[in-house]
This record gives sequence, C-alpha cells and structure tokens, in this order.
Amino acid sequence: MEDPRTYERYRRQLALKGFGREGQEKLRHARALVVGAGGLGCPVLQYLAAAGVGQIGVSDPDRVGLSNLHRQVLYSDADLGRPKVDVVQERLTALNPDLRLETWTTACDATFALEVFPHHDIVIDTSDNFPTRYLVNDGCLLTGRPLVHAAVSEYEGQVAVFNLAGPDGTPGLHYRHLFPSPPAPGEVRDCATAGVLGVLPGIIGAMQALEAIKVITGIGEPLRDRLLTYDTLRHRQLVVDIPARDAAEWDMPADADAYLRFDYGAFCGQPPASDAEVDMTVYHPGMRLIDVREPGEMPTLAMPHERMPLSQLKERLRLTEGEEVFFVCATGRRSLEAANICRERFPQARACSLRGGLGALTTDTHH
Amino acid sequence: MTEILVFGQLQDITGTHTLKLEGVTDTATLRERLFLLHPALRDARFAIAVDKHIVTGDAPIGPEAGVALLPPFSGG
Repeated sequence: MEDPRTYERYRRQLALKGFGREGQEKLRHARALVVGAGGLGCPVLQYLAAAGVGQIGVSDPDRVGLSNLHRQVLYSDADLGRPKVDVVQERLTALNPDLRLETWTTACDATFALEVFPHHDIVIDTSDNFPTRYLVNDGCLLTGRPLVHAAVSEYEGQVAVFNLAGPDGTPGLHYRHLFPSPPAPGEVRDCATAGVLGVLPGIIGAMQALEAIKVITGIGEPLRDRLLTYDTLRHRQLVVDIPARDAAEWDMPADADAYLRFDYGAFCGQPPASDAEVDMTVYHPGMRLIDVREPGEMPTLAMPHERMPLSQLKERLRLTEGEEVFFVCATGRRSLEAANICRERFPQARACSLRGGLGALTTDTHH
Repeated sequence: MTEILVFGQLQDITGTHTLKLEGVTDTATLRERLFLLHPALRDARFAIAVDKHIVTGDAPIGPEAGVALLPPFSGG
C-alpha cells in the first residue's frame, strides 16, 4: 500500500467507510478459487482481480465457443477455439499485474477438490451442472472452505453463501440443507436447452463476486445460510432463510475416501458417462480429427480429417507427444471405443469422442 | 387469499409467476391444491418458503403469509 500506484489503483475502495486499508489488505492476502470460467465465472474473475484479491485460481476444461460470447464478456471473437483459462490468464494479468493467477484446464473432480481447495481461503462455484454443484459443496465441507454459490436459469438467478462459520463459531449450512437431493435428469433444463439472457450471469456473477468480497473482508452481512433469488424480468428479489435439516435427509460421502469413490453423475441420475465423450465445441483445428467408420460409410466429413477404421486402429494409430485426437463415427459408440483404446495405449494423450456421432453435428460450432 | 410467487421453470408448469389460492392454511394443503391444479408439479423439485423461511415437513401458513416456490437452478 506504500507504493503510489497501488494506492492510486485502490483509492476509491480505500476511501470507503468500513473497508479502507484493512479491507484492501484482507483482499490482498486472500486466495480465491473459481470453479468454471463461463457466464458467472467471467464477472467473478474480472471483479475479484480488479478489486485486488491477491491470488486467484480458476479451473475450466472448455474452449471459447461462438455461443459463449453473448454472455461471457471476458472473451472476444478472436479467442474462438482457445482454452478459456488461457484467455483468462491474458486478460486478468493485463487488468491487474499484481495478481497471482493459477489456471487448470481440468474439470473440478474429487481429486482436484481435495488437492486444490485447501490452498484457497474461499471457493466460488460458477459451474453449470448439478453433479459439479454437489461435488463442490461436499469438497468444501471436507476441506473446511466457505463456498459462494450462484446459479442461473433463463431470466433468474440464485446466490447463497455456504459452510461459513458464524461469529460465534457455529458451522454454516450448505447446499444440501437447501436441496437435499438433486432433481431428476432433464427436470431442470440447462442454459443450452432453456436459453439464458446474456446480461443475467453478468448481474448474478457480480453479486457472487460481491459476496466473496464480503466474506473475505468481513463487511456487511453475507448471504450466510440464506438464499437470494432474483427475477430480472420483474425485479422480484427474495431472500429466504435456509433450514437446518437433519443429515439423515441426504446421501453424502463422510470422508475423503468415500468422496473419491462417490459417483456424482449417478447421484444426479445420469447414465454412466465417459469423460472422453464431448461435443463439437471441444474440437479445434490443432487436433487430429480421425473418422473411425469403415471405408465407404457416408457422408464424408467436409473438414480435413484422417480415416482409420476402428478395426485397424490398434495397428495403425501412432501419436507424437502432446497430440490431441478427436474421434468421430456415425453414432458415437465406435469413436468412444477408439478414444478408450487411444487413452490405454497413450496415457498422456488427450483423446475424445464426439458424443452422439456425426448425427449430432449441428451448425452451433465455431468451425 | 394466499399469494404464491413462482420462480424458475416452475412457471412453465403453472403458466404464471404468481398464483393466488383461497383457504391454504398449511404446506400440506398447499401441495395438495397445487398438485390438483398443476399435476406436473408433483414430479418437480422445489423448496417452499413461507414468510421468507424455507420450511420442512408440514408447516402452517398464516392468513397474511407470503409463499414462494423455489426450484434449484444449475446454469452457470
């Protein structure tokens, strides 16, 4: 704070009653982990970096897609196809060179949570699916981290602060006190199917960043054990108390070992999925595109690709270090088998399979 | 008359963002009446808030109480 540029950068926060130098120092010493760098993640990352949070970690396996740009305002047209966290790295360090930023292109799973959460003071969940929401919640309980939760649906958003101890040391409530078990698959449509107004995650993500700053600095009253629901179409805003439910109401891993074994996809009613199965937005021109259909199967792919029938894959497949392979077939079944063979033979390789096959190819890709 | 604020995709089921029901004195009756009017709510997951507290089990609803139906959101 003795540095004139640092003072100048934060002077309007330093001038705030109840915040001042003490609040700014708390931000500087804080380590925040942001799970996801999508619609909510973008404003959270931008505002936390701008406000002076000293250390930020962010994990997101996705690349920038054209259908992201109406709401994920950290990214631009020129970034299409780039890993989101690479763009985050560029933009945030340009915004605030004092920031220490760590990025992961992996999805948040139980191993990640147990390894990475303990190195952060607060976790901010900006993910886009129920399995990750329950996984992040349980990870925060096991590692003792407060969690700032937010989620959006069409024109509405929800924000809450979980697992934050009260001033008297009482433990905070968590996501399962709010929703002990997840909805059935398909019951709550996600942004991809139901749609989302671009500005919505901007508003809700900014509220999420605000709650994180309140928890870190101790100002105001965070949404501890409370749920805020905001309906942007009518400006209806409702804050409700979350009840302290009995733990018998839910099925939750009790320790780290159980956590690592817990299948959050199955818990949320999803069919067993392979993480090799992806959609076309994952594909980028730097990947090898391999069609594993037999010779003569139609239609032929329009973009540059190789043909390597599954029956010959084991003999023919050669990979150089760092190569990424994107397998396709008619339905997604053979290409998944190909991706599994590839991963088995080349454990370092990134191999994925087009979910649903070539029939799933739509115009909603950036190629 | 109890005013019930409906949030999220529950509005696709109810067709409205606010319902008004007569003679609702507890959450058990509320559920019963809601399911009769909109059977698809039976399969939907949501929390019920009465006067800004999410309630569990069967809880009374006073004559002037405000009620809200809150489903989980997943989008990010």
